[in-house]
Amino acid sequence: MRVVLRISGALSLAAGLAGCAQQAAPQQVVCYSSTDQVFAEPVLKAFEQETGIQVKAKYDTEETKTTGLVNLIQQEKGRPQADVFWSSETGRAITLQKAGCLAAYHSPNAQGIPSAFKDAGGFWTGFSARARVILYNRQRVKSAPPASVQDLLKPQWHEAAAIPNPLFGTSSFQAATLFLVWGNQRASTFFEQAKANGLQVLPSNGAVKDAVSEGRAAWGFVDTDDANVAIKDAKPVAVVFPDQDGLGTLVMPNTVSLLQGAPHPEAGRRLIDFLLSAATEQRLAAMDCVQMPLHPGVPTPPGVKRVGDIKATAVDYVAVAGQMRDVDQRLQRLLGL
Amino acid sequence: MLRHSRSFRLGAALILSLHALLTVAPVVAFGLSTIGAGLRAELWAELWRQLSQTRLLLNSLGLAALAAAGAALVGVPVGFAVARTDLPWRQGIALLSLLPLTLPPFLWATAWQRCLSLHGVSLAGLGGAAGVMALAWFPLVAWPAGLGFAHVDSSLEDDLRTLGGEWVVFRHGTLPAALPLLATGSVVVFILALGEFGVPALLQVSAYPVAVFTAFSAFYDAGRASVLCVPFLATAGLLVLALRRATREVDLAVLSQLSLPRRIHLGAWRWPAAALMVLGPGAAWVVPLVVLAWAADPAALAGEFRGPWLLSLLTALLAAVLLSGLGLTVGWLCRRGHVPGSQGWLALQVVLLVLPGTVVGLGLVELWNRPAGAWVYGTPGMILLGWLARLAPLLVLLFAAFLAQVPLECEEAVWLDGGGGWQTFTRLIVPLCRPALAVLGALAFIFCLGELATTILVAPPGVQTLAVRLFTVEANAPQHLTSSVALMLVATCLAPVALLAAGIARCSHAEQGSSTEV
Repeated sequence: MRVVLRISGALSLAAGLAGCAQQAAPQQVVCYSSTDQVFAEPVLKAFEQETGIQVKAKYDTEETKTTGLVNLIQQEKGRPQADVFWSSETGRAITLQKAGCLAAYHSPNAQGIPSAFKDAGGFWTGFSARARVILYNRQRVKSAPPASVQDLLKPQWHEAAAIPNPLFGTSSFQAATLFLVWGNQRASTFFEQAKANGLQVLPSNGAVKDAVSEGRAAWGFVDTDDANVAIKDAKPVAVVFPDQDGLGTLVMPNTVSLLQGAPHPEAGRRLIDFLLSAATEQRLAAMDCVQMPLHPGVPTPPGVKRVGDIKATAVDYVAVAGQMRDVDQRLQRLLGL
Repeated sequence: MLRHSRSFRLGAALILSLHALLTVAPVVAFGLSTIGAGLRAELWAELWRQLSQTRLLLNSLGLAALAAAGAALVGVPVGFAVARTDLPWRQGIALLSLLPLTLPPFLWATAWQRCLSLHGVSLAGLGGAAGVMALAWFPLVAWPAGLGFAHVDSSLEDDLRTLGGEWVVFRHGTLPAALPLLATGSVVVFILALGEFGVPALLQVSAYPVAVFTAFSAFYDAGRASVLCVPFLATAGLLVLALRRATREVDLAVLSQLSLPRRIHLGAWRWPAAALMVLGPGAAWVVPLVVLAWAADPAALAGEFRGPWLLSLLTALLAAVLLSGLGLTVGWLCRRGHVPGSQGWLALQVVLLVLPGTVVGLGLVELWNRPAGAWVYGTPGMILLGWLARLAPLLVLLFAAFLAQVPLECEEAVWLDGGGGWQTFTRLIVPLCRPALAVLGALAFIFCLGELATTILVAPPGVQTLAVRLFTVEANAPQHLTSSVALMLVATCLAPVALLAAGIARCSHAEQGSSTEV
């Protein structure tokens, strides 16, 4: 009995202390971020310094390592813990919007962002985009580098090209875009032929980046941030923005959303305003992720393109997200994944 | 038939209830939260479609069987050599053999692939994937098997020795005594390999977990994932039958502290055998570790890593202690049939172990993210709960297997002598199981430090363990940073185990007199 009393006493004391700590805690905002921690963390720290609001962040791994924050947000829907969801692409935000996990918020800082990159209802807003680019190994590609997704079919690249698993992440989005633009028949034939041409399907963008950097693959599709990390690591690689004469390069913005029932909605809105500002876009362009600003006129470092500098694929992000499940099932069958 | 007192029954019920709250309740909570979604007919059609691609399931079963067989092939000789021979550097070799467990097999596979690609060799394919997983998880067979080999009654072996040579002793005495632990370790490797997604994906082997993984990670559809887990549950049923057969009561070989078995004198083979142990299974970690060390820069580990490191270390130590205590108690209650439905309870542990970490993580969220759970949800206590939920079944199974070596007659004697249930447990079972508590506690500690799937879901915002930190920076951080964090994780895993081993070595000096050389 004495043991029970002692344990109860200790628990009460701990609960009391926790309660005091909560009362004395400074204003805070909880942010779940699927953007890579190395890039998101400095931005969130800048927000803390600028506003004095403490950010409690939770980060994700690559899609192929764990199963993600979207599952967590859906599971926490009845009693949300997070205020803001910062996603590295559009698909997750659209999934959460459909699940009723997001609240509408039209940030004043979203005004300069083209309407193609934001939800009309204010459930998600895009900013700082990545592009889907070709990374090639300069030692293995001595002649003209590949310049189109169609080059996956050329005999000269037999068993030389790699893509990340198209069931996950931005690779999945790229595949779904091709199905939407080309139609199911043409896109299915394309992937069948690419497989017959010895296309390597690797687990993630990081794995393709490593394979190309080390010469295991001559070239492959990755995101601009992955490509830039390889370049910064002095790997013998170079980048091509594909399909500039045709389909255009796929551009995928980050998105930010306010969660339905957020415990700190006001601080959450301030964080969203901060993320959607031109200053944040400038900061993300200057970092190793070299993300392309969506606000017009944001200065970028030399070599970092703005979305307006390239021919981007015309994409209806909601339509692409809507057919990803069907595309995934087709690809699983076509590529034997 | 032993008569259970009321206080014993009450205590046993409380302990099993606690165990159920920690391990079963999250899974039930997850099941209830997805039951509506799981009833959709389209999902069962999807399950049928996945199963109709028999290649996927056969690949996974083949991969798991090969990995388990490979782990046993490597682990049994290592466990036997360390536990029963006069091999030089035994403790060092035992400690080093834990290295593969300190990092997820995905990272080992990546490092190996990098090394081999420099020489134009590809690791891709079923054999490569099975080989990587076998070498990554062989300690799960080696350490429990070593525990079994080390605690065979020497008088039994002496009797057998009069009937034949060392082979007869091994075949009819030593091996049957260690079989329950050896088999449990192999089954655990099978389960881990069956659910592994990263290594097959990296080495381009199509495997069934991709279906479950895409349900969670690409479709964010927990109901679909639950339905697609059905084949895992069916496999668990078969594993339960296999385990029951392998962990039957060991009649011939019994554990004794009074007469430790003799060490086999290797003579001129001592040093070659030690070299083989280091260069054979040791190669599983030496090459990748050199790659990591080559790329690492300790200066990259700034103060920001101190928090995750300290949190991981302290929480894992606490979890290892709790898991060992809970595992031994529940393992004993079930192994000896002191509670109704003991065998069913043990079978349930296999099922819990087969389920993906994401199911456990989301179940914990469902269970504790409510006003009544606010005192723990959103605190680092959730990490502890996550590790207990994920690893308690493993510890229960391993302790139950170890207890097969404890003769039932000894327990009955103490019990009938007026000791009662709990006194038998504290005065006989706990002292006899001290080596198992140390060895299995060390395994639990390392597993906790590396746990990712559940931890990343339940860790509160602003708090990260070292393993979570490693994986959230792994994708795009500079290589020197990820290599440094990986080495930090390896060192954090091994340093406390080395201290524990040194402590045990000091204590066992006194006992060495009873161990004689053949």
